[in-house]
Amino acid sequence: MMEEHLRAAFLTLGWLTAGGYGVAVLERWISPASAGVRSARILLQPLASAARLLRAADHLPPHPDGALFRTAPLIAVATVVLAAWVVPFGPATAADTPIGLFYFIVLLGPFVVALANAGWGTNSKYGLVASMRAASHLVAYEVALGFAILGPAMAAESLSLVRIVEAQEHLWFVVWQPLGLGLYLASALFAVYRRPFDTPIAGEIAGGALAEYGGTRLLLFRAALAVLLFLTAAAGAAIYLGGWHGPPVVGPFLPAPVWMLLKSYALVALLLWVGRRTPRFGHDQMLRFSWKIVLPVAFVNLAVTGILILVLDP
Amino acid sequence: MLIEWALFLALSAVALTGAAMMLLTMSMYRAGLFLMVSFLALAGMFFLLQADLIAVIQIMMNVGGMLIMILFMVMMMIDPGGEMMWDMKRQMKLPGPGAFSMSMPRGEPPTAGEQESEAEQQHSPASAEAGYTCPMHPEVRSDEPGACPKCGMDLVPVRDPAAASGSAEPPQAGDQDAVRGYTCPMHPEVRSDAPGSCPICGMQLVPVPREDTGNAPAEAEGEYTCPMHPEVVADKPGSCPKCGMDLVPASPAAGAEPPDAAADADGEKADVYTCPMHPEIRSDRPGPCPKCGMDLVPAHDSAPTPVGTQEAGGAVEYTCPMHPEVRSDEPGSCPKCAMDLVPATSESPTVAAEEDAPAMHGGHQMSPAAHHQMMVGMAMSTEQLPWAIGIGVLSGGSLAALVAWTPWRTVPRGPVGDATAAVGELLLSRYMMAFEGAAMLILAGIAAGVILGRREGRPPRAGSDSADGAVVHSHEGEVAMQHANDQQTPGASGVWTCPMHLEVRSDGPGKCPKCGMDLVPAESLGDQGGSSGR
Repeated sequence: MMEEHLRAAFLTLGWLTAGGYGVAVLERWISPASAGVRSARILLQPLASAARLLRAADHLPPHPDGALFRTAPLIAVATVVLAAWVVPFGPATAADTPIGLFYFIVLLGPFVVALANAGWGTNSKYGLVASMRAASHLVAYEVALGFAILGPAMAAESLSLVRIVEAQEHLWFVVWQPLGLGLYLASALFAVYRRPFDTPIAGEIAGGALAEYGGTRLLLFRAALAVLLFLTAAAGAAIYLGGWHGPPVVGPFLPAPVWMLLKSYALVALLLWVGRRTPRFGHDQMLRFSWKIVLPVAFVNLAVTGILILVLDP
Repeated sequence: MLIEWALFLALSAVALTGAAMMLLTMSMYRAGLFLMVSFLALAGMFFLLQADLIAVIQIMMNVGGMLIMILFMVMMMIDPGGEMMWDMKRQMKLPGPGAFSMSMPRGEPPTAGEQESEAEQQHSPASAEAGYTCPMHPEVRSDEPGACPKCGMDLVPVRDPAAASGSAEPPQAGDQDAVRGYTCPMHPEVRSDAPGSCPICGMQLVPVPREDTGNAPAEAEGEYTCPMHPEVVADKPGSCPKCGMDLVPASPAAGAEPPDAAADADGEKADVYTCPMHPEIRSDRPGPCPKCGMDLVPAHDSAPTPVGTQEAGGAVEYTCPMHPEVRSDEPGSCPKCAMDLVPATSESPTVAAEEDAPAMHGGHQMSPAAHHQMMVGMAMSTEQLPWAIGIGVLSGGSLAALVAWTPWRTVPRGPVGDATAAVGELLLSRYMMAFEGAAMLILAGIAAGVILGRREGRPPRAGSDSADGAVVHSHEGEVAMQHANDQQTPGASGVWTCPMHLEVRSDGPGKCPKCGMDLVPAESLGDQGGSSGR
């Protein structure tokens, strides 16, 4: 029993490290700054950035709320670690719970608290604005993401991520619920603080919640953000892209975790690509987009999915 | 089993501590976080009960709900971070935790004898025999020169900091002929006609000598001086040889006599600049407001225009109903709240002239006993703590009784595959019924606290005898200050004021236009009322 728990813990840590590192490499690969110099050295750049941050001075802003300022990166890291527990990277690696999908969605909430605390704790105007913007992100993504995942839950008749992946053994959900995947990715962008929905940490407020962070604390935050993006993409791959199953036509000629990683990185690349080519939304525009466009489309998707489940019984 | 017990006790401690800290902190942001933490600990207990779905729902509802509550609190409250309360506590030199939390004033309020000795010490003429103090920490007192135990700075004679600069005849604090105002050693842009504390950092204001005794800041163009040591003058930027601070340009241009705060060469009143948002800020030169950074604007005169008066020639003055210190010669919008300005009438509470109103910052004008009472009254959580403890004990006892004696079945042990069935069984279980019963009791306790608090907040009937220094307050936290044998009458001066904003004056009871607190007789705050600015 203890061996299984330890094995699961180390595997989860491995996935988190690989996923976060891969996201950092992908960010640099897609970045316009790397145009013309894309080489194998990009694989080592996240390590160099981490080493630089570890060497950097760890300063406190003047008159911070010390407890909130110091604990915010730890809350962020703890949130992504706890959320990673239920994301299945293979049939034998997940901590299977009956409500894994719901658990994952809910665990994105404390990350908002971490960002809000970071902004508030700096005791600065930009930090305050970032804190309030982070809270608006929670309002934007929670309902939209909840409705976006209902279709696969209905199709698999379970909230367990493992059951949802197993239900896609012969046909991925994206084939007959393409709108659902689009809704999920749009909602995921609200939750992962990436362009075009990155106002709490945007450069237009000098980094916002992360403006006063440096050194190890900033490294923790950046790692948490990278892992958060990876986990959200991995959950999307598990929910809509068949998880660890290979394409039905091709078959499982790669190991299950490799398929899962490839699909996750593909979604990460897609999200980053969309972010590069979309202007930043203001937080009011984001809320308007979430509640007036994404949510009604999610209702339509829910109705269509329900009808298809009743009629086709896939 | 041992691990489960350890987790249960740890989660219980976190839940109780979070709830207690929510009551004790004055930072609304932290209060919301503490409540969130308390509920998350409760969610952990649900995990221990293997009610995963309810635990996750608990996390979702409380993280989201508390975050939105924090958002609204920050938007709508005057002091969401508790900074104002902390600053007040610092001004009154109360011990306790630092920023963003409020602790009760310790011990008993000062006795009459202690108050008198403190008043004498405050108003006694400055002399080296009165002791030495630190410019940064006025609470540090010593009979002999030395170093401040807190920051290591050299101690200076009490109320005579110019003596530290070696001046042969430093201007006395009360010697208005030799002094052309007071300024802060750290913030030279702060100017005041009277002694007090710097509104930015709380340091004691030092007199600025009228004549150039060689210690005044250099006024020639191109000269630089040290904000802490005005006797240091250099012709180029650099560091102060005494303290290492960067030298700053000495203000006014060469040969130009800086505008006198009191009077110019002809003896007429010179321009005084004030901040539209903070009328207590007065300066004899334009510049940014030290509190909010807004540009200072010329004041109409050195004192706010009294209520009801009109300008020469019959022009009507306009004011804001919410901010009576805002005055304008023409209609428009209030710069603070954008309300339409209305003609000033005799019924509006006035903002008394600065020299008449007791200075809020510095706290020298409010008696220590009044300070103590105000702090006790504002710490409403402690007053309600016995009720909270009583309700908690009653709820816990009821919970234990329900668990022990109810006939309903308990939650089945072991994981349940069907989440829906598990929720149903849990809701109808003995523990949940007990929990819901305890929640009902807590609600009843809150309602009782509200009703009893309202009853306490009513002023006593005429002739009733109240304990000396007794403070009562309603559940909304409004404080009704009472002295022994003092009744809710305005007293001889007929002036009512706000405990938080002493510059607000009114002829009768009402609400403070700045913060909404009930006005109290000025005498109850140790203020003789003085001129109401009329």
